[in-house]
Parts: sequence; C-alpha cells; structure tokens
Amino acid sequence: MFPAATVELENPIPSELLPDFIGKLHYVSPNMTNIAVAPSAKVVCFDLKPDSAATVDAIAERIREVARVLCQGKRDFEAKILVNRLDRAMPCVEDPHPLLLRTNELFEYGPGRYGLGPMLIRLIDIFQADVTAELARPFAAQPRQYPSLIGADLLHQCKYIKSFPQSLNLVAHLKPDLDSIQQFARQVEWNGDSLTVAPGTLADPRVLLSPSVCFHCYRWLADTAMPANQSFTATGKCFRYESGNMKGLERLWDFTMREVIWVGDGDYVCDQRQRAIDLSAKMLDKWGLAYQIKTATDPFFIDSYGMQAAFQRAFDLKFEVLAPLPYKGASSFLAIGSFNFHQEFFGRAFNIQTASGEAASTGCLGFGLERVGLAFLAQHGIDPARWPKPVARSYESGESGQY
Amino acid sequence: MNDEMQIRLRSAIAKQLGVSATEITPNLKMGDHPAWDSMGHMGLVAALEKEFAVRFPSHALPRITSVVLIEKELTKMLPKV
Repeated sequence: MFPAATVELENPIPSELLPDFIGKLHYVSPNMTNIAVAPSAKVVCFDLKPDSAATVDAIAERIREVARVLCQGKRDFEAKILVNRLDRAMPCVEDPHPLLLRTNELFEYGPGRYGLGPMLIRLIDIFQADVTAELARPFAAQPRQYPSLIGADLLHQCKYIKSFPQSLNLVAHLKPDLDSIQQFARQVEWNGDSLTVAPGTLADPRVLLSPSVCFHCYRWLADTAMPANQSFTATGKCFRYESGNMKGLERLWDFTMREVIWVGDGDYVCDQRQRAIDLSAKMLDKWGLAYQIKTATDPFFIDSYGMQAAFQRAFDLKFEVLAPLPYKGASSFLAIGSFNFHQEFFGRAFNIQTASGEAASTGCLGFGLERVGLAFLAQHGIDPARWPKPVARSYESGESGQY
Repeated sequence: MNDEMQIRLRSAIAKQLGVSATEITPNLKMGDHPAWDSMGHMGLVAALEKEFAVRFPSHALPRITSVVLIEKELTKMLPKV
C-alpha cells in the first residue's frame, strides 16, 4: 500500500468546476496516484508513490494553488440546455470495456492507446458515415484531408501552445548530424518505463501531433479573401496528452474526430452552427442515444482558466453533446461532440477575409468517434440484436462497413 | 458619464491595452487591437471592475465590446452624482 494523504482546501470547489479541477490534479505531480476528491469538494485524497522525492506538503501547496487559480474570478453563468433527451431509456448498465477486451474487440497497448476490432470499427464507421451524410452534406462541405502532424508555428498562431500546454505532444527527432545519431544509438536504453536518451541529441521541436482538425483549415485559407461563405469537412486523428485522466475509450491519448468547419461572416457561421445543432439532434435521436446539448468550456490550462472559460461562457462560444454513461452512475456524462463559434479569432490570426473585407468568423462541429461508439455501447450493450433499429440495420447490412 | 469618469475610463482601457489614452476612441471595439482579444477582453473587464469598484453582471459581458458600450453599461452601474 502507498501512503495515503489528504489535503484540505480553503474553500469547496464549486460543482461546475469540479470535473476540470479533478482533471487538472493529474498534472500536479507524477508522484500522486489514486487521486480523488471527497464529496464535500473540500478535501483531496491521493496516494504518494513509494520512494517519491516529493513531500505531501509540497504537493498540498500545489493542489491549493490549482484550486485558488481555478476559482479566481469565477463568474456565475446559468447553464443553457439546448436539447434534453436524458429521459430516453438506456437498457444497459454494464461497462462495455471488460466485455470488449474479453472478446478481442479492444486491445490496450498502453494508457490511452487502444486497438479496435471489427465490430467496433464497423459501428464507428456507421456513426462517421451518418455524421458525413447528415451534418457535412447539408452544408455542401468541401472534403479535405490534413496531416496528423502540425507545425509549432501554426499552433502558436492559434494560441494553443500557451492555453493548453498540458495536452501538447511534441514530436522529437534526432538532430540530423552523424555525431548525434551515433551518440544516440550507442546510449539509448529502454529502462522498462521509457527511453533514456543522451542529452543534446534531440532537435528542437518544430512540429507536434495535431490536437484538433480545424486548425489546418485556417492555415490553408491564410491571407485570402473568400469570395463567399464556405464550409469544409475532414476526419483526422487528434492527440491530447491527458496524464492520469486517460481511461479506456472515455479518454484516449489519440482519437478520431470528424469535423465540419464554417468560414465566413459572423451571421453565416452562427446560423450554420444552430442548424448543425438541430440536425445533430435528429441524428442522435435516430441512434437512440440519451444525451443533452449544453453550454461548455474548454479545459484551459490553470493560469488562464478563469478568464478564458468566462469568455466562452459569456459569449456562448461552445456547446457540447453530453451522453450519460450508465455504468458510472446517474451524474456521469461523456462529451461526445461539440459546436463551437470562434468569432473572428482565427480570421484575424490567419488574415482570412470575407468578401466584404472584414476578418472572417469561423466555427466548427466535431464528433469524437470512439467516444460516440463508447456512449452507444454503454447505453445499449454490445449485442447488435438489442440496438435501436436504424443502427442495427446499418450494421447488419454492412452499408457503412470499412471493407 | 461626466468628463472625469470618461477620462478615468479611457486611461484604464489604455493602460490595460498598453496604448496611449488618445488612441481610445468611443468606437474602438474588441478585435480592433491585438491586446483586445478574448483573453484581453476578460482582462479589461477585470481591470475596469477594479478601477470603478463594480462587478459587471455575467449577462452584460457579451454586450460591453466597445468603448461606447462599456461607457453605457458603467453609467447604469455607477451611483449618480
């Protein structure tokens, strides 16, 4: 057993900040494990890893700092619920993960890294085909394909690097010189947990693994005047390091996202986002999911959390599709999709202009396909015979099959 | 809003944006200056709340996106003299 520790906070964490607070605790210290917050929301419990160099006092101080900064300048906003289908029956209460692992539909390579089997691929492909048909086609969205790698310059322009440093995945390669490569090859060791790399052999990072799909779209349109409002669609792998928060298909290190992106004047983007919310509700109803579409904020890093989150809430910039996971209890929701309005942020950052010469507004919707699959299986089980008919029919017919 | 308050308002905005007070025109709005982006907006709100000892209601935040709109909102909130 690890030594258990408890830390009392100055004030309880407000309930709406609790999920973000718990998420951020996993970045406080690598020496913490089994992190939990007491129901009072005023006490954090964790175990200190054995032989840990950190002291409980030092970790406690950091935890209190996270709580303090997160709550600093907090403003109360009434949550806006745009669509509520939480009264829909969820016939399954079982966690699908053990069954998926047992039946070889899921294979864990490591935290946040999973392989999928044929049933899961086919199911997710059905959802992806529906998102394309029902959310991309109505907007005549032009298809695009983007790389999984993203330039540090592009992410810097998006102000992502400083807003979400905790999630970054820097891509390292060796310095392209013979000495560094030879030194690396001679000294590199697998120590059972990670690679031990000779210092100074890695080149400075110029690219990262892309955390999102739509950033590439804005770079492609940079320094252009758009003759008309336009929409785009793409699927891509997204990479977000989530530390101890990574858990099964709920929170993957890399996941697949289908996005639809709108670029044009502000009214156009807002109208398309609202239309996408209405169309999404029809699609989610067809899948038989219980869900809610509700105001949300991004998991900004600690230093800028209060201000960035308040801004998103004040301007209704983000709505999420939240699906209950019955195996985790009544109050546990998984964000499976989102609808975002960025105002002119990317238009200004990348000098994208509308036909009238104004900075373009942008918005996007994104569905995390593995999460959609998990929410569906968590609510309906893994037996296709028990699934809602539209999904079961597509599955049996293989219409959307990968092969 | 009287002249003194207007000067205080413009100085506070100028200080927050890191520009001269003469650049703060009534029509200056969010997005016109690189420092007045989303983060800058909330920083400006916090600075004005401190300067005038007020707290903008949450529903007012999306409204106060230009100097003239800030002035209007502050006028409603400040005690009449």
